[in-house]
Amino acid sequence: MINIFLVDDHPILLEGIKSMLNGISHLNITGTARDAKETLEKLNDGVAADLILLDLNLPGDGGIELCKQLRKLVPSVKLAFLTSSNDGFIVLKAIQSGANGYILKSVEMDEVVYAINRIMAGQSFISKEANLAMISALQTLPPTAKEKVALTRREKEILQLILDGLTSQEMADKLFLSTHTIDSHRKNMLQKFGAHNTHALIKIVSKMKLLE
Amino acid sequence: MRIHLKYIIISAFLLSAAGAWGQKSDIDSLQNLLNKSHDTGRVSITFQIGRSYWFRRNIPVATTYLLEAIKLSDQWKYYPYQINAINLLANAKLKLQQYDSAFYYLQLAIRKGKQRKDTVFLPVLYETYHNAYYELGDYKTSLQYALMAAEGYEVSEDPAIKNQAKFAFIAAGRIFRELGQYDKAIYYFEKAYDKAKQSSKILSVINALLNIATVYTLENKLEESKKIYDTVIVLDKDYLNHENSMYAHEGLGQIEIQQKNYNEAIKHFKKALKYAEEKSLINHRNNLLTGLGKALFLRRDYAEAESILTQSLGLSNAANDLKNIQASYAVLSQLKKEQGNYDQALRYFELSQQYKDSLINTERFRITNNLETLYRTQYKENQILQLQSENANDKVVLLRRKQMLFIAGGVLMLISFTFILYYRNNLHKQLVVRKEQQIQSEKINSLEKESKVIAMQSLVEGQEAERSRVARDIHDSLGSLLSIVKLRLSVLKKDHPQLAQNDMFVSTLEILDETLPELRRITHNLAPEVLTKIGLKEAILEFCSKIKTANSLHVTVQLYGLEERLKPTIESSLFRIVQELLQNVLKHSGASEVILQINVREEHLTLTIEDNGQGFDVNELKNRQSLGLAAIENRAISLNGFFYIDSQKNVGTTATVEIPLPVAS
Repeated sequence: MINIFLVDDHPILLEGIKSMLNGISHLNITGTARDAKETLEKLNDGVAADLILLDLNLPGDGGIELCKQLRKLVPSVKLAFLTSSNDGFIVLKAIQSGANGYILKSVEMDEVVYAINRIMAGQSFISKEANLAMISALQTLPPTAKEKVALTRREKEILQLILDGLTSQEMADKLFLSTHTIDSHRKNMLQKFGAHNTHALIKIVSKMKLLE
Repeated sequence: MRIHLKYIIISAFLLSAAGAWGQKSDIDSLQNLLNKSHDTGRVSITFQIGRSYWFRRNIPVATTYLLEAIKLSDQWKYYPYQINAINLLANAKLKLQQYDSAFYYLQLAIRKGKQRKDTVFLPVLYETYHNAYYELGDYKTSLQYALMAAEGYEVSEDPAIKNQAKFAFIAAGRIFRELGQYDKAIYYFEKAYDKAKQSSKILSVINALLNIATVYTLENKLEESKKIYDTVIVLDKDYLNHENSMYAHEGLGQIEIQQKNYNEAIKHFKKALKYAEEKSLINHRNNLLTGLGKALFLRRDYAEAESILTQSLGLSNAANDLKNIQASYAVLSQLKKEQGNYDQALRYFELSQQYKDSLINTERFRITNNLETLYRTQYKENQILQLQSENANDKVVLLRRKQMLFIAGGVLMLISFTFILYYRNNLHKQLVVRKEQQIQSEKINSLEKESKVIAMQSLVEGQEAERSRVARDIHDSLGSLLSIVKLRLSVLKKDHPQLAQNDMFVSTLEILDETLPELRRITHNLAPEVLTKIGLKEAILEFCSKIKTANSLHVTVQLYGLEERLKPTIESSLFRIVQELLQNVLKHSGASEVILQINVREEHLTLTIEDNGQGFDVNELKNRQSLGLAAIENRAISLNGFFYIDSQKNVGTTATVEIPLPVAS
């Protein structure tokens, strides 16, 4: 028998999920809560739970914050999201917050039960669609190795003028810009290349052959 | 046994009302009048036409006329029919099960009534409220409104209005009947009966009597019930429309079945069927056929019973009347059992059970849905109230600011005027005045600019807030509910494997599977979840990766100093700007490369989007309009920032947004 605690802010859904899971012979819903506060109170009162199923959209700080808290408070209890959000970055954050599973509400009942069984067997589970979304989110992140930095046209222009030895005022006059804008571009470039001053910037740029 | 109680009530109510207002009101002659009248008379005629269509149950046309009547009465400032029209409109919306709209119109009516200090209308609106909550299954609130309506009518000094209480009594009675409290039901129906007698409106009397009879039947006081039905039939004789006789005969038929007088029962059902053919009561025929079939079966006329029940099934299927389909299958199953055809009997029994299940499910789903409607309606109301009070505040602030500017301007003019007069001959002092004048007008300019920023800010923020609220509502509520529907269907499929062969069921699941991603796409476009929940950085990365995969455009994203989250309004505005600018690049530039760069340094953010496309003349108004540059500029202004765009033919375009960031507190 698996004891499950359900957290969802939507009363109708809470009832719906509860009645459906209760229909599965080896599952037992021991309690439900509408938000983080109620969840913590009930668990404090000793409601039994082997698995907590959480919604992402909870009032206040949301499901991810609650998941983090629960991971610390009840480390032995399995945690899984049962939610309708399937944005890749959200799935990623949810898993990072310590969840053992991520189940979409749009799947069929069989999959929910399968996921619960797998999580209780010590494995993890992410619904297929959510998994795909997470992978494409991961792919958009820049690789850890320094990616080639691209310069905008204006930045190239200014960099060239810096190399030519012009002062900010001279550059401003030449490019019909304010010195403030020139400085802004200069600082942006320092930030981009992680350089502390213009001298270091020139060194890096010439090494990377960005102006040729 | 269960007669279609609700049907009786509603139709009886409508009929009696129609009777009161002249059943033969001729729409054509009203139309003629309408063409001739050009003053306030138009309002009342338009209303009357709408009402006539309403009684003919032509709801779409009725709605058109009623809306027109409301508009006209506002135009002519002639209000006597307005609340009635709004109330009928609310009733029409109820008929269409558009509860949100119905509540909206009711609240509108109450507001308008209060504005004009008109309280006569209140009970009528309470009655509609009662109807709405009754439909929604909230009997408690429904009863409250019914009783409030009754009280409202009773205190009136106008006897005609006082008499209207009968409708509210009927309303209260039917709830008690639904709740199984027959004593109280009878109490209210009898009160209605007394009122109806006073007004000597036969149709109202009949209506009350029919209701009393149904309760007696439920209480098993069959003889009393029969007597009342007989009275109804006598009273109804003089009317053109024998709808009520039909109901009476049906009730009698049911009673005779209970008393095992099948021959009598058959006679009653046949009479009822005759009336049903006479009038536009075709929809009720299947109920009568089922009753007749049952009586015939009990009299052991199996062949005839089967043919009648098959007819009933055909009609019920066409009308999607699950209740009646179920009842017909139940009788057919018994019939086959009696005939010794156990195979068929079992099949019919299973069918009947199936329909029973789906009936229960439909009912449960209806209640769930209705609860949701109630919850949302209330929620929306609160939001509207809140917004209204906020708007009012804003207006006051703006008004004050305007007044301040005006006063400041006035004072300035006075001062300068005095100065000019006084120091007319003093050149030196005159210069001082000029200087002062200049400073003041600069101040006014900056004040004006500030108010422009504030106006823009509230506009942009309001739009964003509304977008994300709508998106959240759709996603969290509708999305989750749809998911539950899908979960439930999957349970159903598991429990009834034969459903996998049912095309209707399978295609329903398929549609649902298409609906969910569609819903997510819509909410994503309104307000991407990743933006609100995770942050601008990830939202931009995701958006750009989508552009990359869908187009041959190479996007280089460079985000610096964006590790911390920014204020939600800044994030959403910047995200919209990024979306709009990148879409411009995609649509118009023909570029192959684009750099998107954000630098956050020292309370200052720069966004640069640069492409290598064909470029355009930035000074040409046409270009600015087609590219939606004004909208982008407005967003930048709303963030106290600047937007500028620089473009060179055949080199490319650079768009830059600079905004100050508030110091993190």
